[in-house]
Amino acid sequence: MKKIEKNRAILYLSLFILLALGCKKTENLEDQVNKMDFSGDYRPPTAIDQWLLENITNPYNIKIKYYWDRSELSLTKSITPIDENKVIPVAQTLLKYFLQPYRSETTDYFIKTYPPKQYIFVGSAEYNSNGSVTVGSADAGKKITLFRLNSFNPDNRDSLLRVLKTIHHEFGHILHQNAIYSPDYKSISAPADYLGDEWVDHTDAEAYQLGFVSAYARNQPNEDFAEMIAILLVYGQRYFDNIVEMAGVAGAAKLRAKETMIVEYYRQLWNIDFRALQSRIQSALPPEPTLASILGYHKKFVEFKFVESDASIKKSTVFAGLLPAIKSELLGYGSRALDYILFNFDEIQGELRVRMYATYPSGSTNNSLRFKIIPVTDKTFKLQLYDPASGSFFNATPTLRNYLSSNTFKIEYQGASTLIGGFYVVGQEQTNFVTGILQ
Amino acid sequence: MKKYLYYSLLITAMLLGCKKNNIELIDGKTPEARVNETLAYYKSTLVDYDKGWIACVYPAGTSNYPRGGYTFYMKFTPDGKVDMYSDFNNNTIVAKKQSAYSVQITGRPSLNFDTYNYIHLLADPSTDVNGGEAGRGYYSDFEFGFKKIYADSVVFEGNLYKSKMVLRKATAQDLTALEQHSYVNLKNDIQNYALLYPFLYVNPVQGTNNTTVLFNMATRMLTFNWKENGVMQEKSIAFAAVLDRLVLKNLFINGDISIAEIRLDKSKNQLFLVDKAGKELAIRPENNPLESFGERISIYRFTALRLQKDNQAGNGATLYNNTETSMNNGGRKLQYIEITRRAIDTVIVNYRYINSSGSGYNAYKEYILKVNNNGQVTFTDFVSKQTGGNYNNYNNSGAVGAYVSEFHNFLTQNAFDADYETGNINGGVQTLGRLKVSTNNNYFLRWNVN
Repeated sequence: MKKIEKNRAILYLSLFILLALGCKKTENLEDQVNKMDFSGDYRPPTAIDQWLLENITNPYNIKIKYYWDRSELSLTKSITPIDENKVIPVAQTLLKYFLQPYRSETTDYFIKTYPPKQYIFVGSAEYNSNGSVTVGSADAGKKITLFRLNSFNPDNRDSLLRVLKTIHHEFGHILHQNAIYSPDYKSISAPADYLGDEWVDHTDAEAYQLGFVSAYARNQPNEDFAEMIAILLVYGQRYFDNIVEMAGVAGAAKLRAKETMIVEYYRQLWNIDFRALQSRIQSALPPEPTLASILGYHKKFVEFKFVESDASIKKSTVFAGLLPAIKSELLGYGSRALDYILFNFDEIQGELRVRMYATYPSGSTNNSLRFKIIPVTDKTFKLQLYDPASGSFFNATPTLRNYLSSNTFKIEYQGASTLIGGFYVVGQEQTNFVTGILQ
Repeated sequence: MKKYLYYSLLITAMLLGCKKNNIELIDGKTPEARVNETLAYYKSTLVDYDKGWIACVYPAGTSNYPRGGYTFYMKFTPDGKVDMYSDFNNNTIVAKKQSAYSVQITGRPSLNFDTYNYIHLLADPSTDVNGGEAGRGYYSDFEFGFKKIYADSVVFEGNLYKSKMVLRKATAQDLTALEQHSYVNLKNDIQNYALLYPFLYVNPVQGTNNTTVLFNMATRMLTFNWKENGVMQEKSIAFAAVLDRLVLKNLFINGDISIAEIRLDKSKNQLFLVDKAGKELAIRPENNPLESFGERISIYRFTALRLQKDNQAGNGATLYNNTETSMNNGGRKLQYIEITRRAIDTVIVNYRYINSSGSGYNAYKEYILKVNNNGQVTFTDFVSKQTGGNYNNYNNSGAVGAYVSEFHNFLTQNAFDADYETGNINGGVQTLGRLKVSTNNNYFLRWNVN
């Protein structure tokens, strides 16, 4: 039966070919298909196109698409195209902090093969139903879409790092889409700690404790992997070490294990010295701003929070010596037991509010001392009590009041930390300071 | 089964083999040739008019988030660039911005704005950009399908949200207004006009189909109100401000009223409604609102009616002064007294005051309001039966209750006639709603109603 059918099949097939070819015209159909183009007329290249061709496409074999094309994006969401003014600045960022460092640490073959063949630049973010926004995506190892570029400002370090982190994060995906990392990576954190879309409901601080470098890393192992790469390369070792320090013993061990595997992955699968790449990117980036330039009224940080029980906040000899008196004075003022002290710059420009949060018999409360900030030099300042008639609380807290109003301070990070900082008494930086968590 | 496969293969083969002989091209052209011709025609429509276009864009908005129209100037060049101005804000009307556009097939022949320009401000999903809904903006488009081409205008429909865009050929007058940055002036002019003349009637004959119009320049919507069988009706329509007129997104039709545009004639200080055919009729400012004052305070509405000291006279002024003095003695400065509808049958009277340290406070007292068959209004002290929901005594009314007792007694112990009083009140012509003690013509309170 089978054989007969086979013969019959051959018969029909030859008949088909014969008939189909029978009336074939000698036109080249392929040419006609290639000519099919419903995209309207030709758009002449602009100065931007020329710049991209010379600086990105020719040397790196990468095409940048910045004209709107709905078919590349969600068909149902509100997403807006990029502002032409942003195209070259973003491309320069790509070049300087991604392509050139990778090129220097790899080969011509690598740089023309593995970086995505196409970047799509998009102006707005893509808003998701879980309340998060998408700032980048990587498809099939070939294409990366960068969103939210209209708010990109290369002169603002935070903005630069944000976009750069997306670029490196997405390239992390391209790397593992080409060569998968060891399955052991996925078992460093407990499977239950990966949350899918529910990651948005959890904080970075929680993530650190579980050995994740960010809340988003908890989405799934591939995101974890890409987040590790991006944060190590873009935010740098100091920032990562700070996270490890905050992560607790178990969290720190997991983060270090992941870090080691990333370095190994780069060495074994790609023959790239991850540390050399990291320092290349870090030295190309603009220097980190001093804390004094980013802590203050309407700045990145507006206050620091001193918590006695938090071991990561170091206690200076002098301030630790004053603490018992500070606490007992507060206790004498309506039985308030000190919880923490907020040093806040944001209520009134040029003023510091020192707000003492306390638990007292019928609940919790806070009272504040107000100081005017009097600059001494461009880096140092004194605090002048302001509105001293503000009542009994003022009179009840002489130790803290006198400490703050009798010293000359400067603002510094605590050691290598970028997350803790505060006031250091000028000339006694080793023994006399009060610091807290920057927020 | 396989048999059928072979036969169908055979038939297909025969059909394929002879396909070429049966081809009939429309107009002798291939589909892509015809498509590209169409696109070229659409594009040339835009490019060939060298003065540029005035575009009214009406975002789709949502019922929770209504949004009116925005006006743009657009000039298209053959190399795919478009220059824009917009009345989005005071910067976008002054600074010209260039971006890319294309005429393509995206489902249908469409005009797409391919790099960011002012038109994207309406569509931007970021609240920081436009104050719209996070993730959606104003529900507006920047990919528009061509719907209709007229001699001097082109009508488009947005591909994602179906927002509406109408391009009209710019005139010398438009270009002058753009040069002088006066495109944003109309909204202010109309706002000022409406402050002077708050009760504007669009019906041509007084008493027939009485319909009023209200302007909201912040949302760029206007609202028509009329009564049907004694029940207030309302319809809001988006407008875009163009030169001297507001161009409505849709025609407003109600009985013999048909409105396509509203035009301000500054020299005559007069608003006109313009119907579809371009015929104009004066919009009539009147002294009184559509609702009687009795209806105004007894119909469920949230507009607060304000009682100010300056507007009182006679016994009413004495009452106000006494309340003020009494509040003063209690260390509080009375600013005004406001009446707001709270629920279907209750109103709140708010005694607004400033305390000794300069902060403003509200003190609310709630009353049951009734209108009897003679049209008389009465206030009864409202005591909520819900536990914890005693609105009669909240937001500081406990603190000031004693100081406002004379006023409270006046409200609860009298029946009032409600009417409007128009005329020269305290040196200016205005309309006030009046609550007059039914038994005493000289004892009344007067409330601001606009």
